[in-house]
Amino acid sequence: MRLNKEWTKFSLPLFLLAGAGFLVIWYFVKNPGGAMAARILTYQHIGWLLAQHILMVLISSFMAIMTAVPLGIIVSRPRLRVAGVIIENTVNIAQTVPSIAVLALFFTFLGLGFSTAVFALWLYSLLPVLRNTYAGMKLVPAEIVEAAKGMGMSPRRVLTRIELPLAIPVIMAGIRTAVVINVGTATLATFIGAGGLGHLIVTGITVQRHELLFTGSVLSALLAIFCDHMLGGLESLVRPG
Amino acid sequence: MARKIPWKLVLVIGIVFSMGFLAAGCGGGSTQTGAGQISKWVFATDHEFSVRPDGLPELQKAYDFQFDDIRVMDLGVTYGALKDGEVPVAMGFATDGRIGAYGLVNLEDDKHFFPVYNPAPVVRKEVLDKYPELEEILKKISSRLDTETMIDLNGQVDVEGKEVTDVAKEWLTEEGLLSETPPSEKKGKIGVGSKEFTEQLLLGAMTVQLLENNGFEVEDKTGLAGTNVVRQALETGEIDLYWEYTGTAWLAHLGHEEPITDSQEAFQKVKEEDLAKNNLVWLDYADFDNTYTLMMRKEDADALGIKTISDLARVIKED
Repeated sequence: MRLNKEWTKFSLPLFLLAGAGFLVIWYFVKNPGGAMAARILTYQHIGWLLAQHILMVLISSFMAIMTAVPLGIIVSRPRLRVAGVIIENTVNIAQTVPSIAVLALFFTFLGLGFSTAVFALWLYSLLPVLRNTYAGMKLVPAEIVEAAKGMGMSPRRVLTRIELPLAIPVIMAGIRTAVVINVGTATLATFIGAGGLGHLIVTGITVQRHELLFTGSVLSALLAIFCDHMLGGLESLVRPG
Repeated sequence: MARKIPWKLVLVIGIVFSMGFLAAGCGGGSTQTGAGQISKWVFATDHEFSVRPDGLPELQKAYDFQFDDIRVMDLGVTYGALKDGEVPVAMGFATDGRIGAYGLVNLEDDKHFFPVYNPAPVVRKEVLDKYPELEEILKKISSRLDTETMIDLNGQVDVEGKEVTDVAKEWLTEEGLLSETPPSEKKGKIGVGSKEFTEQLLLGAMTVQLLENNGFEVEDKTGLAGTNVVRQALETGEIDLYWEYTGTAWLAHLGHEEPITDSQEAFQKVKEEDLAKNNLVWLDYADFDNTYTLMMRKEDADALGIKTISDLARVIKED
């Protein structure tokens, strides 16, 4: 019974968000406000852009988690304290580079398109995840770790059974931040020919068709909330207790 | 205690995912294997051109062909995408300096689909009445400029990084327009304006230097931000002349809806209407057209014998 209630609490907002998204798409496909916008505002085209957007965010975020979490754990080891401080500061400084500059920078090396966009997004979302993993691991009280060692736990067990579970809320907060930022930043990918919802936004701006601009930005906002809620659900699944 | 996290599963999923991404990343890339061998006709365009009624959709109708795929990107990116072989055809602006520097060629718009944007000096009538010799002086510039020259000059500034004033001076000197001995008699004051992009700055700098060489005292107001600002400055008399494009004046300043696609016709109509309505005189226009263009790499175009957009349409349909 308890699970059922939890499941409803988790899934209902997701359905509402998806419903709102479909409503927005449906409305603007029916009322594109002119032939120019109607050329882009079709179910097929919006679906394709949405799929590109989701794929970009999904791949880059997943790669960021797969790289930044282990890296954060490694640099949080007491033996690597100096490396940890260096990496934390580098990461803080790197985060101040505007996302469009990151995209432009890698565009010159890697060329056009989807993979470059994913790479830039990966790099950009690496930072919050890494920082939060490091901070989360550092926040685990030393007494608990000591106690676990005293009970005869192996270092690996201390890590997987004590430290990681206690650090999970902070790590997850970093992941959520990264993914939400990613959904927004991915709208810039259209500048280097990688498609995504930014296509609607930028076209809307350049030809002054607010229907396009609105569809693109609302869908991207809904997607960000959707992802955040999904990860919130995932968090409660992996959280201790 | 904590629920057990399936670390191994997470790891396996991660590896599979990363491999998939790598494979996908390597799959993309060039559409070109050798000169003239194009596997897929992909077109690089900016956002605006991809939807505008006088852009891609109607262009494909007018020439009766279809690109296999369209990639939408930022305007400045299309030149590089074409140069690097990511796409075989791209849109751009016909006098952009990168066309020459990157080894690209413009395809001729043989069906006159694109509206024309020929630049010409626009002078306030009372100033021209006072100094009728302005017409002859400015004609020296406009009669000597064509698309290739302008691409080259724009490229010297945008790609090679030279100063606008130096490029203008070099060109004027090469063309023998600057006399060594400036005229002794001093003439009155002329305000010269321009918009803020390279081609306009070049035209402005050429005008300033040539007028000074002819004894005018020139007030240099080049590099004003935006068409409307410059135009307002001319109408209110803050400046006396600047170079405007026929298409821009027709559509933006004179407020017409239908673009004109013939240079001579556009010039005549704009000239008549601007004189009648605003007391502005259009002097002879230069024979280059800063309008939309389709571009290809030179070696591809040569290998396939493509010179015009009609040729391109034919080749794409044959494929």
